Amino acid sequence: MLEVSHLTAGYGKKHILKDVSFSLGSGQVLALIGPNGSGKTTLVRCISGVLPIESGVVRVTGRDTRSLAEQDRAKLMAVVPQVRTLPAAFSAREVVALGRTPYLNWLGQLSEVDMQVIDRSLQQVNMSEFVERNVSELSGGEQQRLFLARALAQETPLLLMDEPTAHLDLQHQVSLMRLIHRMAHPPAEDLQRGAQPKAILVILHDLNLLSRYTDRVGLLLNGELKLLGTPQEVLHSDALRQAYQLDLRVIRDAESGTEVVVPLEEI
Amino acid sequence: MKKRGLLNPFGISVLLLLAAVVLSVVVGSVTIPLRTLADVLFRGLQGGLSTLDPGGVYLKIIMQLRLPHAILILLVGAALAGSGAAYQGLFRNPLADPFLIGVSSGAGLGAVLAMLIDWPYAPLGLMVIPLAAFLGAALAVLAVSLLARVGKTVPTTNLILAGVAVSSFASAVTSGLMINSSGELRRALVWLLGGATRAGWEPVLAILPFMVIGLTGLVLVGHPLNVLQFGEEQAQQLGIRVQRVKWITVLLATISTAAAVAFAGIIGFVGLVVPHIMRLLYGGDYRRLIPLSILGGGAMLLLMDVAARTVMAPQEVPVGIITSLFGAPFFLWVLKRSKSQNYW
Repeated sequence: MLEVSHLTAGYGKKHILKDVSFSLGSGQVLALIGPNGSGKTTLVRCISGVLPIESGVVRVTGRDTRSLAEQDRAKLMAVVPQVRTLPAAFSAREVVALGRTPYLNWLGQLSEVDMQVIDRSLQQVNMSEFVERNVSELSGGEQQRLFLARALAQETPLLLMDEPTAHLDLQHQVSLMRLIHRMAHPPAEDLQRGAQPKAILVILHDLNLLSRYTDRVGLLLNGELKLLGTPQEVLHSDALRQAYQLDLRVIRDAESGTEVVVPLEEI
Repeated sequence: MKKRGLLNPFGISVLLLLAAVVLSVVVGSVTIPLRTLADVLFRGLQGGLSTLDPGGVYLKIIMQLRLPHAILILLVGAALAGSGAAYQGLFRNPLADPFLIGVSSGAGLGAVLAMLIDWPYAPLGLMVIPLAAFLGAALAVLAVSLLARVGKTVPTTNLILAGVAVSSFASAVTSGLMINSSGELRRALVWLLGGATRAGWEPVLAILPFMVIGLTGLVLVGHPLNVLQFGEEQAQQLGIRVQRVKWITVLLATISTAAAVAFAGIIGFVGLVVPHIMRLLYGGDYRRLIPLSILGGGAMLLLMDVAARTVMAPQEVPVGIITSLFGAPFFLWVLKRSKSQNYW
């Protein structure tokens, strides 16, 4: 689905990403972790095409993203940005409707199919009761879910998410992560309704979410992909400890199998 | 779109516009009673004269003076308000207005430059002035957007300051040119302050192609402008060709503004006030906001023009003075509001 090979990119002469290579298949959640400034957001911007690639290739469904027009790119991948400020003039429904943009002409008229997709996307994030609400009246968590619904309305096989759990309380973090997991691993009922397993690349800061909700974890440090493996491999690695300059202890909850990270002394 | 219904916003705007046209035709140094207007027009369509107007004087006043004047004013108001709404969407800033961001002054400078040159063919002159105005306006908008930009955004204060700077510069050069030129200084001054000076259908026909292109185009960019409200990066990720949309919108808004300035001088605040009223009434969806602003702008400027022609009758006040009189306090109110409330 997503194939990144020898990607180098940055701003001006400064290289933020150095020779990054990995691939991500459908039905997988790949978490990107790493200290602040390690290049996680830059990687997402690069893959989504808003930041030019200096060298290397990004392929989505086998196609070089540089050869794709914006509209075609937006049909292959959707980005859930970090919520900052929202233009207040829109209702929740109108925001999600903008996810249909790659399928619309200049006039932006919605068809019956578009309406159904919008409704379904709102349902998936449990926002159906908010449709007519003005976005300025929504809480941070609700706005975050709204952006996810907008990305779902794009009906893309690949989803890129930049810290979707930031600013969310514990309950909303868990429900969002469950939703992400479910989109990559749709249960039988979703499959019957025509859902396709998505490939999801998600930037996370909270290491405690890794073992439960993600399939693989990539550790970025100074623009290099230091380690790529299962959550267990990464959590128990020395590379992780060096990246954060911390001694970490990993504790396994016997009942759920969840592994949580306890930060100890700085090293 | 918070408030739906309210009859139909488009229906109300069209009715308001028609009423403003009628008022504009009726009011003047000779007041034409409505019944006479109806009868004269009705008979006139049949090629005859009304019994209320045996000499055909009213018919002449209406067809050769009032109606073309009203339509010119309508088009100018429509262009200013429509491009104001588009600039606001483009800069993602509620205070963008062709006058405030210096586009009008740039167009004025271009037009005055063209006026000072003696064009050998008079019919050509009528087209040269709007083209020169367009070049001036384009340079001004380019200068303002370069000056006001910080990274990827255009903060309100920067936009206004850059607009004031560019506008003052263009106005200073314009004034200098006018003082140095002998002769038609007063005419140019009246024109610059927004008094449509040429009578008859000629300017209407000359302005029409610019307006048809500019305003039709602006009505069509509503959807991409909506997406652009989330920032250029997200718009691109949603499949919008951001640079193309921006250039097309600037081009269309600037064509409309330049044509308006070329034929009616510099008229401020219409492009600010009308989109704001429409936004408050019917919401910020640019697919509706731009056409509604176009309709409302026509109506608003017609009413202002009626006021300009009557407050000091028989002396006519340039309409630009009237719009500034009403517009400046409104601008301050919006400025205060945009800081305290996040309705934008």
